[in-house]
Amino acid sequence: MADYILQVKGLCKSFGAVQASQDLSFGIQRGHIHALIGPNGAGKTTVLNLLSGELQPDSGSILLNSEEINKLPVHKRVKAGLGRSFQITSIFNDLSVAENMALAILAGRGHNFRFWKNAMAVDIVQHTLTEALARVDLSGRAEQQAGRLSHGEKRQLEVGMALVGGPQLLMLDEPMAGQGAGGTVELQKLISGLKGTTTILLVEHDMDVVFSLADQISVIVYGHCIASGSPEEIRRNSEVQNAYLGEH
Amino acid sequence: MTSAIPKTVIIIAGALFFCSLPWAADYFGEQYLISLFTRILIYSLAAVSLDLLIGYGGLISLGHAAFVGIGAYVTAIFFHHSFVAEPIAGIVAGSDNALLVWPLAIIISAAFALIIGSLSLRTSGMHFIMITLAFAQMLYYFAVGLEKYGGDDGLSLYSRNQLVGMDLNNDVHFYFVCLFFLTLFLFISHRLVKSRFGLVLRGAASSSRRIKALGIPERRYKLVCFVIGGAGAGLAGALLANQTEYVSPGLLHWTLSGELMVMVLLGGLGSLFGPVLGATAYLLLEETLAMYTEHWMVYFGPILIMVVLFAKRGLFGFLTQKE
Repeated sequence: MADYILQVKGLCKSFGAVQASQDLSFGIQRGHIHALIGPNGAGKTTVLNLLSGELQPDSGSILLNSEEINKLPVHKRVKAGLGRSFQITSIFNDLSVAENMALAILAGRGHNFRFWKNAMAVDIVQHTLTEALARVDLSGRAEQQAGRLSHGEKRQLEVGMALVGGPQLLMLDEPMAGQGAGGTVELQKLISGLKGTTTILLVEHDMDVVFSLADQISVIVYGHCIASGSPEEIRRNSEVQNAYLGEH
Repeated sequence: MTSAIPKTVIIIAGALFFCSLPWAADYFGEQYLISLFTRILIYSLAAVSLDLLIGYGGLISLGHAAFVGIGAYVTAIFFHHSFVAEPIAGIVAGSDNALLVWPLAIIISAAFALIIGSLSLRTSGMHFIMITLAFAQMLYYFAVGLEKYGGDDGLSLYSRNQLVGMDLNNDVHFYFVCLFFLTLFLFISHRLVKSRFGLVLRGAASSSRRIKALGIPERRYKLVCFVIGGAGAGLAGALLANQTEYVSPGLLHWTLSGELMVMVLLGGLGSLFGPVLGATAYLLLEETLAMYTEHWMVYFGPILIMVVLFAKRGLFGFLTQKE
């Protein structure tokens, strides 16, 4: 019996006449890197938004550690262990790189109604900031305003911020998008280094990355999951080949 | 810009200037400067409190005058009841003791900010601007309708409040009391924006989506910011009522909210010290231009537009920018 960290059952979501998710079901096993692939407009980002709580499903259920989380707002789902990065990089452009990371570090640790002490001088920040920045290769950029980083560096910062909260399930929405070859290799190393400790749901267009990283792949076409399995099974699946891989 | 001036230099120069002003005014025999600069200090306090909202919380409030007005009216109403020796609503005795009335002005302004803020913060962007404006105008018309306290004509205080060890009716004493409160509020605000609370607040202003993704419910942080801003404005109102020894519904009018916003933009959004510079420049310009023409706004407008166009981070940003 597989140990599922997250299960999605019969999820439906439509925007007017467009059915972004139709009776969508899949499960993510603990410790795996689980990739979601599918053609453009297949509804992959919608799935992430439904999981994170930014969108409410019309029907169906989402189970995190066998508990239904459908009704929880975004911040409660984060507390329950769901971390994410966005397809369009979303960091705090007006803050420095160090402040961005500090905010991510402090977010998961008690309330932030502390009005007097400098946030950067808080013990936990002092202890973990250097390492957290080094992990995503941004040590030299600490004082820079985050909005002025290169695209790749912003992406690294974002992934670093999602990691620092120690999420049980990390959702990465096209982390490789807009990365140069060097950045892709770096991020790939970072993600594979997390294997076993953090479960990852990866939405990615770069098939080389998906097939080299993923333990499990689910293929989504028109909001419906047409196949789930190991990279080998997916590669051999004729339905997938027709619907998707064949086009490439 | 090669001639960037370090922030600390500007702040120290400003502190020295404000500290020595009464002596300079005395030396040149220009006593009216003391009362002009007292007004500047009080408006600075209100502008700094608005900067906390706009510059750090991303909360564009067009109703900040409401809290200035509430602070002023609390002070005036307590004074009035103490003067005529009749309890407020037949229950609470009036008072002209600054140590009692000013904290009350702050608390009542903060309480109103809590109510208005918790309703307004259900919206954002344009709607937030409009709803804060609507609340302030509502209070303005309420003040106009306060027949017991002068209605449209406002209410006079016959003296300033009493403060132990000080004579507030002495302009120099009162000047330094205002300077003290501005300095205190600047110091508190400075600590605040660097604290954990401040970091979350600035983060929420920068990206509301991201702060939610970090698991932080942003609204309550913004609400606390709104309340702190309202409290600062309430103190400014209490001081303003003392300075002019007169309050009127004009203190709650949206034009004052607009003026405060211009001071913040002129001085530099999100810089705390900038709004002090902004309020100083605004009131001095108004004073100077008004000496030459009653249509001073005609000249003032273009100057403002130039500053906003060419110094995007305001006067403070212009002086301190690095590139």
